[in-house]
Amino acid sequence: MRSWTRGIAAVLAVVVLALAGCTGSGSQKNVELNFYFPIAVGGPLQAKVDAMVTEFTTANPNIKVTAVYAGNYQDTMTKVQAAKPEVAVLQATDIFTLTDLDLIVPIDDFVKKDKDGEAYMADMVPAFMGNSKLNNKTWSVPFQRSTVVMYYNKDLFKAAGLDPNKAPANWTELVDFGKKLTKTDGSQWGLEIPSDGNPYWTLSSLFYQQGAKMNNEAGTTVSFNSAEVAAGMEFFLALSKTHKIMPTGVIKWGDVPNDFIAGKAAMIFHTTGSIGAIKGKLDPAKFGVAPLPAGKSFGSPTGGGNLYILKSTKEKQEAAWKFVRFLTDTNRVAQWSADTGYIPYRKSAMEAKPWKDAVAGFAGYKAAADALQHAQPELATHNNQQVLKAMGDQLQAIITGSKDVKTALEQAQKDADAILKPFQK
Amino acid sequence: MAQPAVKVGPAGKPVKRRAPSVNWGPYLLLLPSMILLAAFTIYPMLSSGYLALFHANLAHKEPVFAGVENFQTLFTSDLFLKSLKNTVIFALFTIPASVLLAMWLALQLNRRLKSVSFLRAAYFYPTMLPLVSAASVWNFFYNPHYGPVNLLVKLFGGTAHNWLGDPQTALPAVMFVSIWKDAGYFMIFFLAGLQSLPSDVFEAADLDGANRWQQFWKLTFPLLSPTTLFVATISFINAFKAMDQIFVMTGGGPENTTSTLLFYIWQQTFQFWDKGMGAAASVVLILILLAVALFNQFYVDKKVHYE
Repeated sequence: MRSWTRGIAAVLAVVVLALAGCTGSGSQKNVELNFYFPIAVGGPLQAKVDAMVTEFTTANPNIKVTAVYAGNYQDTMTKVQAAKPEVAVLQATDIFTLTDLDLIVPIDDFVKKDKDGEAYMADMVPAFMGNSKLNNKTWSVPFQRSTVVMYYNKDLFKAAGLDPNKAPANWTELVDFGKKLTKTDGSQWGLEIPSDGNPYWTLSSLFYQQGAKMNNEAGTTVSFNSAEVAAGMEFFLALSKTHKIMPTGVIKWGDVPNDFIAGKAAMIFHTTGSIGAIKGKLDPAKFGVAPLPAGKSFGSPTGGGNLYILKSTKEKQEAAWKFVRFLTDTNRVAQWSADTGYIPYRKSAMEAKPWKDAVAGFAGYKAAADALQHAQPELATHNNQQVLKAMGDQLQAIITGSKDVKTALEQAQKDADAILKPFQK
Repeated sequence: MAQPAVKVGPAGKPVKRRAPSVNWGPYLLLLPSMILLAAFTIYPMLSSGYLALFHANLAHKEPVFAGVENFQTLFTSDLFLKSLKNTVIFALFTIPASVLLAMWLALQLNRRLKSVSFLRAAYFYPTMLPLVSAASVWNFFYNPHYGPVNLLVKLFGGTAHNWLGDPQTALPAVMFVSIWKDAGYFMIFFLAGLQSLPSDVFEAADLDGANRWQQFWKLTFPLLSPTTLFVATISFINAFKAMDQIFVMTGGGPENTTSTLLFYIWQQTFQFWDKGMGAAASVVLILILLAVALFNQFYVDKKVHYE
């Protein structure tokens, strides 16, 4: 029993000392930040994030940043809600959810305080700021941003008698090329567009190519049942049913790059974020990247994650802003993009050496950045996930053939209206 | 078999009971597990029940009392009803299939063959894989282009099928993975059960000229019933816990044909941030499980033969 009490006394002593240590370091104005980030594309990204964090703490010894890899975007959102870190990378479209949950702070005041603040914001690529503004405030800056592009297999193009340096520029050419690239025994398809899970993001490129506008700026209404969306879906269906250049039914997001690498699909729609992974398995000379072919116009949705500063003490928020500015420094943006295949979101980064070198090594990077000229901000509304699901469910019903385009889109509109009703006050 | 036991004192008279005094010892020993049970089972259940009575979602910054509205919404929601139906189908198919398959495997492997230990290990192997990795492997197996399942189908003259992409086959394809994963695990319990069966009754049956089927149906099957009940219970729990494989293989699609009750709860709570609806659906799940547990406790348990 004696040794037992002595043990407890020892533990208590340690705890007291540890507490004393904490308050001691606190008085030196040290700031601790937690930084949560997801990884949504292939490759050793965690090591690269860790390296940037180490570099930051070396330059700012009074700010200690703990970087936490938190899974995919969905997981990160869940963990951020529970753990309330000071900085996080979350989907650009989460802006409504994050403000409705009252988790984040606008960055305008920090920008104003910085001497070069205005120039910094003006340097951002406009397409990537489309999901950052709400109620006349700016709530995030881009971090890992992408869009949908076309990948095409040059060898298969040659074998089909097509110019290996010319991707289809419009829907007519897409169908034409597709027919030449499809083998009737099913061993090779002209085209694959992923359509599993929620197919909305990829398919919305077809809607934008018809000139569709998906939501209002306040994020309280959507137009899912427009003629433009219907035309986009009809074209998508025709690709497999009428033109027979794409497999019927649901095509898995993760299978599409693999099918492309294996030569089973000659052209695919996928995120620019997959450039790195595909380049790792396929000789860069043997495939090309191009903006998506145009319908009535060019079009593709932006995607990916932004940096958000969460509510905390003023001191921590300022340190967090310092960290955000560090991560989004021109050269770092260029290097990060060259490492990942994400598109540089600062105009100056497109001129910086790491990105220039990457483009010189693989022209596909430039095509990816060019695709941005036609990119539109992706669907962002209140209750975004639920609205997306309302649409995604109906798109799946169209793809599997259980509903016709008009009925399904009307249903999507009805469901989305009901979900958004509480926000239309 | 155990003899009926009557406590007898040294002089052959029944021992007199002591006056009842509360013995706190056992309660003290139970205390740690009671605390854990209260903190991680009872409290969350009660708090879900409470939260289910509120609108707690993105449209309400502070929860607003809703009465039974969340439950009304649930039972008029196509998605919820579909998820409930999918869960029931999942249970109805995976429980008998995995239990019977496991029993059959155990009967086949409960004999002295050279290859027996290899086969036992082979059937048990899926159990050792984490479910998420197993589901990823099956994602590859079901791939419509180069997946081994379709290669096999084509070998026998069929046409390639998009198993996980077709609303008709997605749920069966996911259920198959669960059965495959569970059968080997349950087989181990049946093997243990078979090996502890008394050999004398089988010898007697042999002498009386009972054939194999009669021996199985009149002896093995009833004598195994405690194992069968145990395994069926685990299988039932697994059916209602089914989540990982759905997450990895289908994400609840296509057209919500693989959305189960648990998946629905996760989606409402963590994807849509609708905690009130998530809690209401949890209450429904808890009530179903409670009903089954009571049925097991008071009805099925009495029908099972224990030694």
